[in-house]
Amino acid sequence: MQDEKAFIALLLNPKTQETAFRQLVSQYSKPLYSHIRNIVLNHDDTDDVLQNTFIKVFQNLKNFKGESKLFSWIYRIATNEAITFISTKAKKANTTNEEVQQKALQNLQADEYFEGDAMQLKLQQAIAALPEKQQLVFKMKYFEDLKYEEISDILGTSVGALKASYHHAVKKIEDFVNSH
Amino acid sequence: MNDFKLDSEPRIKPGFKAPDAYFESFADRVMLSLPLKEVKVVPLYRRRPVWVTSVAAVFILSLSLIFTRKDTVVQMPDNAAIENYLLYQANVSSYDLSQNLSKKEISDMDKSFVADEISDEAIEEYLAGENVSIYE
Repeated sequence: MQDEKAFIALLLNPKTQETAFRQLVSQYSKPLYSHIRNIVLNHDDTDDVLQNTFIKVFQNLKNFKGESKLFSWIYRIATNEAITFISTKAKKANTTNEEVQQKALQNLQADEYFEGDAMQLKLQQAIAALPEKQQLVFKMKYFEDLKYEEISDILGTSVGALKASYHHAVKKIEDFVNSH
Repeated sequence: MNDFKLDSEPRIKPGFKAPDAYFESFADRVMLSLPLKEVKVVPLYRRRPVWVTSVAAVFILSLSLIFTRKDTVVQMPDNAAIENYLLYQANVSSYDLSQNLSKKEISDMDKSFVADEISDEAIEEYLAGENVSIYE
């Protein structure tokens, strides 16, 4: 993308806003879809969260201070939206986030937009057994191949803590796969 | 199987996919749901400076006056035509005439008929021409 400051200026200018935002959506929709789908698992839910994410991004552009990269800021909004979505769903069903995740996982085999094999399904089950923060770190590092520095900017956690979380997650996943 | 090591395996993909053409229409859907500010449509007259509008108004008014005046110019009849009209066409009595004349105009007319201003010869000539009996 062009110089970030110039691009943000285009996003804030009413005359160029629409074109610039369309460019932003085109650039971020695929990676953000993967990021959100890894968290909420279901396509329809991902579609809702992805749309809400872009609406939030649009509504809060004027508040973007440029303290972090646009990329990190957008990913932070997407992550918060996805987690909030699960929490809201859990509250409505009078249950926990973990149970909502387990239910989504059970539906995965029948999901026409999941094409994973037995190993991929087992990996998803292993991830679902992790604490929420470790899940996030593992998915962002392993599936999305984000750098620790990028994940640190998005989640507001130190690189050292992220490395520790990731190694704990890998160990637990290996144990899960080996024992199932 | 107790030897599974994540880093020694080829990277496992999450296994998710999106519906066909999902991303082709996604941007349009998002753009439709955004609270975009509508660009204000400024009426044409507001874009023009006031002086331009004023000049245009004066120009149009002048044109309309010129054409209107041209249409309403009335050819005034000359005195002979008026006299002829009154003499042969109009059914105008002396009373009607006096109603349309001011007192001054009437007194001026009286003065012009004062007897001493008419010579005796003129009276005689008039009477000789007229078949008037002195007893009438």
